[in-house]
Amino acid sequence: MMIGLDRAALVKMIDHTELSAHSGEKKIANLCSEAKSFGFYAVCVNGAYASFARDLLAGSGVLVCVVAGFPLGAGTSSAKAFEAGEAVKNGADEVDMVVNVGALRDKKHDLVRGDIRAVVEASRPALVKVILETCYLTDEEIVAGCTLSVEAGAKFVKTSTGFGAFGAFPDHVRLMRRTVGPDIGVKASGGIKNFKDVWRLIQAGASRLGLSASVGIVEGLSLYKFAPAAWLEEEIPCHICPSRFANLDKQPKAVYAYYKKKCLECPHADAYNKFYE
Amino acid sequence: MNGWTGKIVKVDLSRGTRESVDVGDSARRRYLGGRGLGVRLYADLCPVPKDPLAKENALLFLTGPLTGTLMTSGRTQVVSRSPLTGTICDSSSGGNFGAALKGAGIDGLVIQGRAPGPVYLRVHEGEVEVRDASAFWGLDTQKTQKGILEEAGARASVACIGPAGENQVPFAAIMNDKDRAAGRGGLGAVMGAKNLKAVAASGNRAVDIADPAGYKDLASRVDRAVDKNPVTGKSLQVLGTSVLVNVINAHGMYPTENFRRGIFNDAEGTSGEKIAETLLLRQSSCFKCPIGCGRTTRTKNKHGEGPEYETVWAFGANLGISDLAAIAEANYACNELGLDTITMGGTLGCAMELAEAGAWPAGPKWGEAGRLLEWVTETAYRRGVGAELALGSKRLAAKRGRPELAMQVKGMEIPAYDPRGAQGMALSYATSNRGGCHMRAYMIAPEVLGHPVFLDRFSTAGKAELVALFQDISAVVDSAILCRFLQFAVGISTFAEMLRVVTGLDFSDEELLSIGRRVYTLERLFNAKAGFGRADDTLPPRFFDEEFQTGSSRHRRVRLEEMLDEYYAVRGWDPDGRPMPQTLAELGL
Amino acid sequence: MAGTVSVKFYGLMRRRVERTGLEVPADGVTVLALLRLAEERAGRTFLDELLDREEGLLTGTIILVNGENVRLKDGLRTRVRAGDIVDLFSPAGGG
Repeated sequence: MMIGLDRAALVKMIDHTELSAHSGEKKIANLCSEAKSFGFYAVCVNGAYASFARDLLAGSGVLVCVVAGFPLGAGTSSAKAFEAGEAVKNGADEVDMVVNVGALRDKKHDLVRGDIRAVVEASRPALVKVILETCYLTDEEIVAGCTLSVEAGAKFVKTSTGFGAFGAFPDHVRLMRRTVGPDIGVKASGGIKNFKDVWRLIQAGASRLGLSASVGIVEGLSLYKFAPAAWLEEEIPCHICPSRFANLDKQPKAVYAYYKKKCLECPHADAYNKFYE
Repeated sequence: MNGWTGKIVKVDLSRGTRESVDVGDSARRRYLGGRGLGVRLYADLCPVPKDPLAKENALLFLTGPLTGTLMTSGRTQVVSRSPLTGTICDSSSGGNFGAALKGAGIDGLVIQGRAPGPVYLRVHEGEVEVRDASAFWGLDTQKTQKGILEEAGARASVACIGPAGENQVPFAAIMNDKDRAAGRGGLGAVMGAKNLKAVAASGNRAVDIADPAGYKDLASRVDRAVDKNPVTGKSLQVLGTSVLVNVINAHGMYPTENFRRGIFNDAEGTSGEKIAETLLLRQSSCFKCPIGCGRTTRTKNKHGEGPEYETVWAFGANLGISDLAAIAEANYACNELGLDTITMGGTLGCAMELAEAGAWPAGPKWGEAGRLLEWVTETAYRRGVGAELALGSKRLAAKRGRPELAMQVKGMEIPAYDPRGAQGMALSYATSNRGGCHMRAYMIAPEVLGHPVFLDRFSTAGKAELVALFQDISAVVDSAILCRFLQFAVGISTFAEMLRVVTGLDFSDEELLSIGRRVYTLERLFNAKAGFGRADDTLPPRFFDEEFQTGSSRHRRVRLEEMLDEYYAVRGWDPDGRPMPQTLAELGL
Repeated sequence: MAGTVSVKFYGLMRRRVERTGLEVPADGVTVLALLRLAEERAGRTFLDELLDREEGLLTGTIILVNGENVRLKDGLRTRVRAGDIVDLFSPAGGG
């Protein structure tokens, strides 16, 4: 009994990630070494390590992905564009930029689109992914963010920085995939811990994964492959729903209230209402 | 040849002859080494099950292709038919002995016949010598090792039996490197029945590695993974396996007084934390092992290794004993005399319940810590109360007219996890090829510890598939040979990679799994010939009929029937648990 | 004790916290909030033994509320009442 996903396909969906502020050369070197051994698609690092990673990965086939305007996305377009351009000069094959979240919430769509376009232009020939930071957005805002990203020439939309209130959820990935269609990439990132999480996200439409627990997850694939019944039991919907993880400490009040309302109106509420505070 | 040496030595103790054998690339590819190859060779040598203590029975010591290479690769597998259960049985031991056999230039030993007098085998530079061991016969395992090392040279590694093996106690252990044990199944008795006191091995032959650069890279990756993982990197080293006492007790499934209860009032006083506070001198490690789960300990008057989780339970909660020093000293005694602690403790627990029930008035009584040493010693010499304890719980309880009071599966005593607390563990015990064993499929990992993923321990859903998978993976790890604790940090894909870089053969996850399945099924076939079937894939009535009244596993019974048919289906066995022709064809059996 | 939750530490947790147990005045808070209160009361941090960077349970972490694993309830959002017993085990293993 095997799931239709083999290791060779899985590793090519993974951006092996190390973005902590406190990570130095040793951690980045380890990251690159693991990426080479396992054949991950890319490593994802902060700008200061772009050329370091490029040199370590030279000739290996593993790409370098660098973040820009990260993690807040609230810098000026020209600053983000410069950062992206410099990263590409230093060896980045892909740029993960953070959208101007505040402007998106303010519905300043031209600003948002222009901001992304600036980075896309500055990054050529590298491909750009736009991080929406779904934990701060309503569904409507996520849809808008996706649409603007595609209009501006980005090739991927991405859920999270991993430093926000929460990370990737199947519901959001599903929404993003529905919005961008089959030809634009959807990258799930943030808080993905094991193969179970990965499988749900892939089924929801993710075509790339930002992981730091990549090695364990690839190992997990083997176990799941051979004994799917045990691993893939239906999850209680609330356990994988972003509404459940809404956090007044970490999210704008309006977003928190939005999720709580969704929870109340959820068709599963009756069956699982013991989880509602 | 990469990995293997390509040489196995067959020894006929009756005639004193030795013969080199090359089992061939196909056998090595399909069974690897260790348990897998051992079971294959054993089944070929003894197609009709023989009396385990007869001279025709074979006793095998096997290493694997990874032995002597990566971390934890010093282990050995001993294979034969168990005098305790009558099933095929492989017994695993840590330490250095396996690496020493490899260094001595051989993949393993196949021993048949019976020596006319006490002998030991000296393995060195690909040769096996049969030497007189009369000077050592009668000595305990520690003195034996010391004495043989004086003859063989201090760099040798010695595996030997003590008085229990010499007296053919059916749960006698084979001890090596001081205090490491091939305990379960009583293969020490098989050794004793052959008048084989010990095997000493030494040598400098390095293992040939197919891909040295890949090996180096992989070795450092595994090193990092083991170090980063909280279980292998911290917990096992600091607190050892007995850290589980409080865990299992908190789950209400810590078997107390012969599995009558699930909570022990003094779990705390016999826990890993307590050992660290009061008895621990330092941790100890096996060959090339950074995990270091071993405990070098001392009581007021004695010192030694352990006790491990299973032993602290077997002589503790299982008997209503909370005197940690007494438990430790009983453990040291088992190491010296060469006895399996789990069966010893399981038999004592049964005996105590028999005594209480009036079926054995002169038998041991609950909580009598002061008599532990006496019981253990008497058992090794089969005298006094030990004459009956040496039967093991199944035969003892049957003899005393209360067979249902033996907590055993297929004759082997059930270890320190009550199956009413974890349905998957219940299935694991019931379908283990060597009887009541927790290691064939360690379901406690997902069901209690939440590793690698957390499962509801009271659910039977999906457990059958998982038990079969874990049984297969365990068979692979036992054939490669590496330490099972590595599984907390790395998975089957890494094992496949290890075998690739060392042997140069292109093993994949799938192939490894099918090797595991092949080994498990071959064991099952042997057991079928020995008369085991569905009726033996069960548990004592206590687990179906009685419930705990307190604790978080209260009001639970084992629901084996819900899982057993599914398990047979997953395995490709018929409803009587016999491997079907198509399954055998797929595995090339 | 009235109005408190009994928090019990085992294994390596005991080395971090330097105690085996703690009474935390609480009623109706989530397990996560309780753990933070316990840290305050103990004057020691220990959440990193149990949780990862994103405040999710580490693989192998066992948190029991009255003997039941919180993973089968509402995870770290499980609410505890005064009088409850919470057992904390950082990842451990054995055989």
